[in-house]
Parts: sequence; C-alpha cells; structure tokens
Amino acid sequence: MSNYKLLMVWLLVGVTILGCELPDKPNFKTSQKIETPLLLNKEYQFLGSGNSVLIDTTSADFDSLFTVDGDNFITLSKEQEFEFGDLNDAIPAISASATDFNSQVGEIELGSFSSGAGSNIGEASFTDLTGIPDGTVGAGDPVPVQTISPAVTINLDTDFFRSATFKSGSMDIVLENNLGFNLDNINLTLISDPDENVGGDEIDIVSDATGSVNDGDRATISLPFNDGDQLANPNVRVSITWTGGTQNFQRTPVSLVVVSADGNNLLASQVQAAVESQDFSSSSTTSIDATEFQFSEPDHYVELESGTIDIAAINNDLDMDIDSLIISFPGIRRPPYREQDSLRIRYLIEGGVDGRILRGTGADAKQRDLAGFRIFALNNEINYNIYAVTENTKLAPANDQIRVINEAHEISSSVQINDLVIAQAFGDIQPQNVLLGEDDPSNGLEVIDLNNEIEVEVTEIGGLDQISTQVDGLEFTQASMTINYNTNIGVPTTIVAAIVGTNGNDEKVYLRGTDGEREVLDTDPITGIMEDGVQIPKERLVKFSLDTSPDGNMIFSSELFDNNNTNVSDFLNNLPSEIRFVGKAVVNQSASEATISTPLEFEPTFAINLPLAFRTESATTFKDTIEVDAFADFPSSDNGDDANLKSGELILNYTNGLPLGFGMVVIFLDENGSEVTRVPQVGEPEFDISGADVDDTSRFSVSPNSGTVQLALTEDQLKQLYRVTSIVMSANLRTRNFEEVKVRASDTISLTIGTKITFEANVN
Amino acid sequence: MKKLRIIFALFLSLTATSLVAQSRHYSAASLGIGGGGTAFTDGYNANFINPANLMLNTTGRKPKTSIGLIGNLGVRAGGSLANIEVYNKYLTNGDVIEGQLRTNMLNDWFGSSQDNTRDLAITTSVIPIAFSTRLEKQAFSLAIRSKTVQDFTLNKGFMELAFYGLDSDQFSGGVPVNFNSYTNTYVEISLGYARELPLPLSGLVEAVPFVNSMKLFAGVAPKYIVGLQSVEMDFNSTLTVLPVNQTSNGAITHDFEYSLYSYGKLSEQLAEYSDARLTDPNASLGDYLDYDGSDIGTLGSGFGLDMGLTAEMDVSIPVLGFFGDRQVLRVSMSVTDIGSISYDNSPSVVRANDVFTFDGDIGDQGFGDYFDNLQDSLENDVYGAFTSQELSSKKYSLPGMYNFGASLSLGKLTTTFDYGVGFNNRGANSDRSSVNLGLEYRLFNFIPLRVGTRMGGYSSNSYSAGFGLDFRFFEFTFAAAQVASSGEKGTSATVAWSGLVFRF
Repeated sequence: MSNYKLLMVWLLVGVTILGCELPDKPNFKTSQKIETPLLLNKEYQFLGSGNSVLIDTTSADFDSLFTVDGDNFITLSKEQEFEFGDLNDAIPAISASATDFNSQVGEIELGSFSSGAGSNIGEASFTDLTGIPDGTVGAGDPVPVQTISPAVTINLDTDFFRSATFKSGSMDIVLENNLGFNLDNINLTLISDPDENVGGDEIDIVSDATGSVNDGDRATISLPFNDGDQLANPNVRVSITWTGGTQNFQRTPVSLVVVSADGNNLLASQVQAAVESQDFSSSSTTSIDATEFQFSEPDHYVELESGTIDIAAINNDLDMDIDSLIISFPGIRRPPYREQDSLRIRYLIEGGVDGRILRGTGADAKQRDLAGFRIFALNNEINYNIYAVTENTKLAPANDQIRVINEAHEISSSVQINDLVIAQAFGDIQPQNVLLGEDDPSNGLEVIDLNNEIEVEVTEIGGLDQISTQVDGLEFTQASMTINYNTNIGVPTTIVAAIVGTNGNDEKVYLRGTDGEREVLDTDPITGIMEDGVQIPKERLVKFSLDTSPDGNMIFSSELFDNNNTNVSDFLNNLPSEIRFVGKAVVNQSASEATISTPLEFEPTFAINLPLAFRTESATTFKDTIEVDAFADFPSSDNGDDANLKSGELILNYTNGLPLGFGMVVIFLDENGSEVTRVPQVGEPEFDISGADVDDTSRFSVSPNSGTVQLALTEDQLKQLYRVTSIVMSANLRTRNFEEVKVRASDTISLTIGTKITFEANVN
Repeated sequence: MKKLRIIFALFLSLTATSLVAQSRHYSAASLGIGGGGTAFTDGYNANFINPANLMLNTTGRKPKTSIGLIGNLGVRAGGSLANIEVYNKYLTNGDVIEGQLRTNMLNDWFGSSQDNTRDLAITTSVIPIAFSTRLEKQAFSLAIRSKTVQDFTLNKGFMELAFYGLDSDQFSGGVPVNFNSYTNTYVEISLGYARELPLPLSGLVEAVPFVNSMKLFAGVAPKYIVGLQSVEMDFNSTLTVLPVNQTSNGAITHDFEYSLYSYGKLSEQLAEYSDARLTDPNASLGDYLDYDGSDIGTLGSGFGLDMGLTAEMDVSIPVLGFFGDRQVLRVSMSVTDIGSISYDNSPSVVRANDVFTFDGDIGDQGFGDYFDNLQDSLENDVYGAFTSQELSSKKYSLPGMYNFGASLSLGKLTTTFDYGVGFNNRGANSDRSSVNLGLEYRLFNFIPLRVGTRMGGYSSNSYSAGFGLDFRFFEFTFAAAQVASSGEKGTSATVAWSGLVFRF
C-alpha cells in the first residue's frame, strides 16, 4: 500500500509538471513604422543671423564676409591686411669717405724784434760818429765841418729774434737824433751776424738812408727783404753826414739811438724767434657716394635719423700751442638748417675746459652726433674749413719765448662721417627696388619666393574655402578686388607683385595685369620674384602704381582690379581661401627730384568684393560632405543586427524663393570614401527643386516656385547604411538659361519635411 | 478503490473549475500544495495565513519550538499581461508580427477593445527571522516579514504602440495609451498567539460520524507595519499619428494626463521642481531629482491583523487504514492582512494634463538645436510640466483576504483544500475567488513530495510542486508553481524556499 501511495504522488507530480504551461523560446519579428514630421513650413532666409537662415553671417566662418546694400543685394566682401613692415629699404643709403686733412701754419709774420722797442735797443755815440771828443762842445758852439765819416756798428738788443729766413716784407728801424745838431743823412746797413762768437761772418743784408734828420727827431728806415734773405742776430751799421759852419750845437751832443726794430709785413718761411699769434686756415672736402642719391642742387639735402662725425686725434707739428682750432662744416646744419646753423667743432678753452691743441701732444679725437642734422652736399661733396690760431710766444716765460717755426709745420687729422641713416632726403633719388616683406637669406639675397613662409605674406579668407570646396562652376559676374593702402611715400612707386589665390581644392589662380598699367613687361624689374626657386613669368605678375604723398604724411588710396585691367574675375571665381603675396616696390624709377622720408610706409589691405550676381555654367555643382555618425547605429542584418530597416522615405515639400534651382543627389560614403549607395540611383532623374522666377531687368527673383521631392531608399540600400560615415549632398545648381541672377539676403526657401521609416526587429 | 477514484475525480474536477485565486501568504510547503495551507501551514508561517495553526503539529513529529532564518524567500510574478498562451502562439514561430497576424495577436491578448487592460503583478517576500513555540494549550510566535507588492497595468493601445510604432494607419483616429504602476514595500512585525478553545456542545462532536475527537484552536496575530517606500503612477493618454505624404504633413499628438504619488524626499524633490518651474522656465527635472533612499523606513506605518480558527478532528476509520494508522481532518478559516499602511512623510501627488503636438513647427530654432533640445523639452516642458499637491497622508490597504481550508492527513499522505477571496486587487491579490488543492506525501517521513493546483484568482490556473528535506529538527524545502494555460487570465510563476528552519 505504501508503494501505491508513493506511485500516486509521483503520478500527481508528473501531471503537475506536464500540466504546467511553459513558454517556448521567443522567435518573432516586429514590424514597426515611424511616421513623423521633421519640419513644417520652415522658412530659411538666404542670409542673416539666427537659426532661420541658410548662411549665418554671425558664425565664425563667415564673420564680416557679407555685406548687404539697401536693396538687400549681397556682396561677399572680405578685407585682409598684409603686413610688409616699412619700406625703409627704399630710402637711399649714403656714405662718406674718410678724408685726412692738414693745415700748415704757412708764412710766419714777425712783429717787434725786441721787448725794449720804443726806447733804446742800441746807440752810436757822438764821438764815434764825429771823432769829436765828448765834452768839448756844447750848446751854441758851432758845428764843425764834417771832416770824417766813420761807420759805427750798433749791436741791437733783439731779444725776440734769433734768426729768420724771410719771404717778403721789411724791417722798420726807427732812429732818434740825439747828437745836438741837424744831420743831412743817416746811412744804415743791416748786418746779419750768424754767430756772435765768430768774427768776420757778418753779412750786410740791406742798406738805406734816412735823409736829413734834425736834432731830436726820429726817422724810420724800412729795410726790405727779398725771398730767401736770412737774418741772424741783427746789427746795424750807421754813418752820418752833416753840414758844418752854418749851424751851432743846439745842446750838448749825446748819441744816435736805435729806438725800435719791427717787422713791417715781414713774412718769414722759418724763424727762430718769439712770435705773436699766428692764424692759419685750410679747407677740405669729403665725398658722398652718389649711387643712390644725388645732391645736384644746393638745396638738396638728406636729413639724418642717425649718424656721427668723427675727428681723429689731431697732430700738432708746431712748436707752439694752438690756442684755437675750429673745424666748420658749412653743409652740415642743425635745425633750422640755415648757414649759421652749420656744424662747428672747436678746440679751445671753453667753459672752463682747456680744449687747446698743445705743442707736442696734439688733441684727442672728437665725435659729434648728427641725428637731426641735414647734410647739404652739392655735387655729393661735404666741405669743411679749418681755422687755427696759435699762441703768442712773446707772452711765454722769457726762457721759452724763442721758438723755431717753419712755415711747413702743420696740424693734421682726419674726418670720418659714419653710420648715416637717413630720415628724409630731398634730391635726385636713384631708382630703388625694394622687396616687400622680409628677405630670407637662405634662398639668396634680393630673392623672394611665394612659397617661402618667411618672405611671403599670406592671408586666409575665412568662409571662401568652405564655399570653394562646395561650389564648382559658379561664375560671379561682377567680381572685383581692391587694394586699399596707406602710404607716405612721396616718390613715384610701382608695386610689381605675384599674387596667387588658392581655393579649398588647392587650385591656384595668379592675378595678372591685362592693361597697360597693370601688365608686367620684360623691362620691369621682376628678377628675384620666384615660386619654388623658379622665376615667375611676367604673365603671372601684376603691377600697379601708388599714389604719392605730397608732404610725407600718410595718405589713403586704393587700386581697383576689375575685369578691365586684370583677370580678377578668374582670380576670385576660384574662390581663394588663401592669398599669397610677394613683390617688389620700384621706387622713383625715373630718378627724379623727390622727397622721401622714413618710416616709408606701405600698408596694403586686400578688399575682395564678390557681389552675389552670378550665372551657372552647365556643370555648376554644389557639394557638401557631412560627417555623420548616426548611421552606425542603423540596424542591419548585414551587420549582424537583429533589426532591419525595411523602407525609408523622406518627403520634402518646398517653396523656393531663391533664383537658383537644384538638381540634388545624395551620396552615402563609407569610412574609405567609397560610395555605399546613392539616391536617386544611377540612371534615375535627380531630385529637382525649381528655382524662383527672375526679373529680366533686375535679375532678382520675383515669384517662388513650389514642388515636392520624395526621397525613398530600398531595403537593400537601407541595409548598407550602417557602413555610412559621411554623406555628400551634391546639387547641380542652375540659373535660368544659365543667365545672371542676383541673390538678395531676404530671398527665402520654405521647407516642409516628413519621414516614414519601417523596420523589423528579430527577437529570438 | 472506489473512494480513491472519487478523490481523484474530485481533484480533477476542481482542477477544471473556473474558480480563482490569491495573494495568500505562501511558504515552500504551502506553495507546493497549490498555494493553500489555511488548514495546513503551521509554525511561524501561521502568523500570516491562519494564526490558529500555531497550535498544530501537522506531522505529529515536529518539536514545539522552531526558528526560521531567511525563511520563505519567495517571488511570485504573473497576471493577465503575462499570457504565455498568446506568447507561444504568436511569438515563438518566427512570424513577422504585422497585418492580420498582429491584429489577431493583440485581440487574443487584450480583447477587441483598445481600452482593455492587462496587468502584471510581482510579489516578493521574505521572513528574515521568525520564532514560534507551541505549548500545551497555547502557542506564541514572532515573525518579521518583508514584502514588496508591485502591480503594472497597461492597456491594449500601449501594446499597439509597441507593435505598430508611430503608424498613422493605426493611430490616425486616436488610440488610448494607458498604464498604471503601483509599488509598495513594507515590513511587518507580527506577534502571534493561539490557544485551544473549549469545545462547545461537548459530546455532540463525538456523535458526528467518522469523528473520533476534535480540538478547536483560535489564533490572532496583530502586526505593526513599517512602510519602506511606495510609488503609484497612473498614466492615461490618447495618441494620434497623422500620415506623412504629399498631401499631409503629418503630426504626432499626445493628449495625456497622469498622477504620481510619492513620499519623503522624492516627494519633496518633485515639489521643489514644480515650484521652481513657476519662476524659472528653464528648470530641469534632472537638477532636482537626486533620491538616495535615505528616508526609507520613515515614510509610513500602519497596523494589521491576521486571525483564524482551526478545528482538528481525528477521523481515523479502518477503511482508510491503508493510508496510515491515523487520519486527521482539519478545517480552518482565517482573515488575513486586515489593515493598512499610511504614508504620511511628505506625501504628495503630482499631476499633469497636457497635449503635446509634434508637427515639425520648430519656430525660430535651428533644426539641429530643436532636436537636440527635444528630449529636455519633453522631459521638462511637456511631461515634466506637472503641479504638485501636498497630501495629509496616503493610505494603502493590505491585500486582505478571507481563507477557508481543510486538510486531511492520512498517515504520510495529506490532502488539502482551500478557498479564498481577496478584499481588493492589490498586487497578486484578487477579488476573484480561488480554490487550491494540494497533496503531500512524506517519503521516508522526511522527504516531502508536494503537488497542488490553484484555480482562479489573479491569474490562470496553476500547478505547483515542491520537495525538500523536512526532518524533525530541520527543514529545507523548495516549491514552484506555474499556470497550466495562461490564455484567459495570464500566467503566474512562483518560487519559494523555506529558508533554514530549526526546530527543537
């Protein structure tokens, strides 16, 4: 029975287990549809700010790229500055050669021979002259008839004189008759006694007579010297004649006195004497290099920003101090640049400072700063004068008064004008070719290369790169470019430049002059304007002239490049996102008289103007590649997912107020850029969005067009979407009949978009 | 043998009866016999099903005292939403759920009306520690039970949304999309007391045929309840999807209203957000919600009561001697889970009533910005645009029920019968009556083999089985239940583990 009970329990357990309902493994597919609107009558204005615009002008990419006029007509404009720095290299460089100068003391002028001049520097006694013993006659006594005529030599007291070799002039000797009676004549002979200790070496130099000389009177005898006459330890020999018997002694006779001996315009080539101050002067010239600047008129000048003039140490060969030396430069003037404002460099006692040039030591070198000075150098020569005054040795101590001085003794030195930097120049400026920007020596001097990042000026035009990579074949019909510039260049200047624009697809267009003023010729100085080390041909260059500043102040001017003078249409229709610019400034090509000042400024700004007036070519396309990561989440059985998209449809209703029509294709790309699929598929017509109607005259849109675009993907296409990493929106743009249209900022396109997606999900 | 057939016939007929069932407390033993146990479950489990049974010693071998650790860990899930019959019919054959097949499936599942609802209830309970002792004339017990009751209800329209998507073919005319969610977690501290009652009409019982003797027990188990957390949400809406085609731009319209009851910090945070929206239109719900659960245990409280009567009769008769020497019939009835939990810590209800229309009109916003902001907008400006209302308290009734049961022990074999009806429809509780039939055979006296069935109640009829080790001093048993056919009332799946029960 126990077993029977147990069997019953087991049976019940079995019934229980078998009776329980157990779930099977799930295995089914859901089929779901999502049907949702995405946009409802969303109106997008072509240009503006905010979210309801196709192009947000406030975004960083398009900042300041667009301007809109009163008619809402859009111009795509961009200004970018180039910074070349100054063009001071166009300022002519000048330099002056160093010149030595010397100034000889020249003929030495002698004055008084004796410090006792004016009283008695020697005398001959009555007895010696008449043979009559002293004391034998007196006043009232008759003067006897002359019976003898002795010559008496008088040793002169000439303490200021030892010797000299004369060149011209004379010696004036003053005699005073103290013999007590009148003389008919006094004969005087000047005697040179080279060596007072040697007898017989005396030489008569010159003789003369006075004529009658009454008692108590003085008479002067001027003794002329011939060039080369030499005189040493001078004495005079005198003799007298008188008429006796008719006159009485007027007093007691004394002597015939030599009162003085002075030079009279007495010039010597060499002296050993005490001499009074001698002045002497000389002039000299230093030359300025005329390669870049010519002083052809007296009023031509260069004004120095910096520079120095150096006077080397002065040698003094003279046995005399130079109490005063002035070197003057009449053509180097400080403001206000009058003649009396010329530069003078002085050596003298001045302000308590002894600047004299002492004998035997000379003077130290001197330097003067020339900043602010102007140099007037007619015929490119700078003249300077040297004027010196020596000491008066007669004022020297008694034992130092006698000096040996030769007329060839001199002072000497040199003048050097250094480091001249010109702030302003007025004159004949020689033509200058100046590089715009920095010259990188690594590719050679005076060579500039479009692809040398040191030398080239590069500006990027934000926004255009995006457009250029997306739009191909669009022709802007009113493109122009202006170079606005500020300059203070006062001389005719021509810019020769290589200006290349590169678009987002790396396509280059060079700005080229096409009219007489902008076209570069073989004669233009284009050498050294390179690209990758190769000379850029003139056909890829452009030139233009700058307006000149009348007064050296900054002026603003501009140069317009349009279709009449350049290929700017090609240049800008390339939609350059980057513009590279190298060039030269050709300054004063005619070498005419002009004023030029530093800093020499040329500050150009490129102003690009692309009015949105354009026409499409037959193959005008707009392409925009959009990176998307959402597709990676799209389910696909090909990707091992349990879910599959069965159908996908996008329905777009539009009202297009833009004067452009679109034929659209959407291309789906994988991570390698390979096409995964596209809609519409190859062979099917593009999705067509009609453009608005355009006014024949104004070319603006006048009435929008509406339509519907239905974009459907098949199941096979949807299965591949998981591979998609980017999509390319390709639109063939077209203007009506490929004619010009103009786009206004206020043009709009209104979109209504809805989507339907069906998908299946496996559950198992 | 004839009687045996009669018993089997009765068993099978009851199995086929369309009576129904309940959220009655279940142990591994009671679940094994179909989920009944009103006259069968003894020990501390009796606190929650019939406290009078504290006086029982159903096997006659159990010591007086028992202690349970981590006992009666059980999970019951099921309801009409979990319809395995529909599931097996439609969702296991590799079919694409579309067209007429989809229509048929949803009709079989929910019926024809889009307003029809189906629900899913989940109840988890565990008695982490419990104690009971049985004396000569009375018995005592103390048991702590943690219980979570969850109920999720949704309508056919909700499921249509899941299987159709946003399909204008189905939703262009407007479809109700509703759901309701209720969760209540609480801990009961139950103190049981039972005693033997003197028999009235002494001598009369013995005069009843087959009844040799009878004892009458009464028990009561009051309990203090700590509400841990509760959230209740009711969401009702109508969804309309207009077609997208060349003549229609399409639109999605969701006309909705909902209410959400919450408590404690969660309630306060929702109220703060609601207040903030009045002054700050950019207030974000995410900035205000930061619930960390630190207020659990302080949110609510309540009292409950379980009580019952059991008559134990010796009905040993020689003709049934093959079942064993002693036959015992027990007849019981009880009322359980009488009482409620009141959540009074910052209770509030938030309500929203709005119509969300998505027609592609993005206004002045950019296309990308609009969709980037859409989630935040829906969260804060549409579905999060609610108003908060403070409440004094929110009371939830316990899943109370009336139980009647009988068990007949024939030696090692015990059969049980239970009837029950719920007073409400909380969780797995149902006001639909249920009948439970069960059988236990104690192999070698320590290996209980149990089978049973439940008919009626919150789900379709279910079968259950259980086994384990049940020595005099130690019990370690399992049980599980599953429905036989979920087509009509949905499925139900329950598992239970006795935990570690020590007796001495």
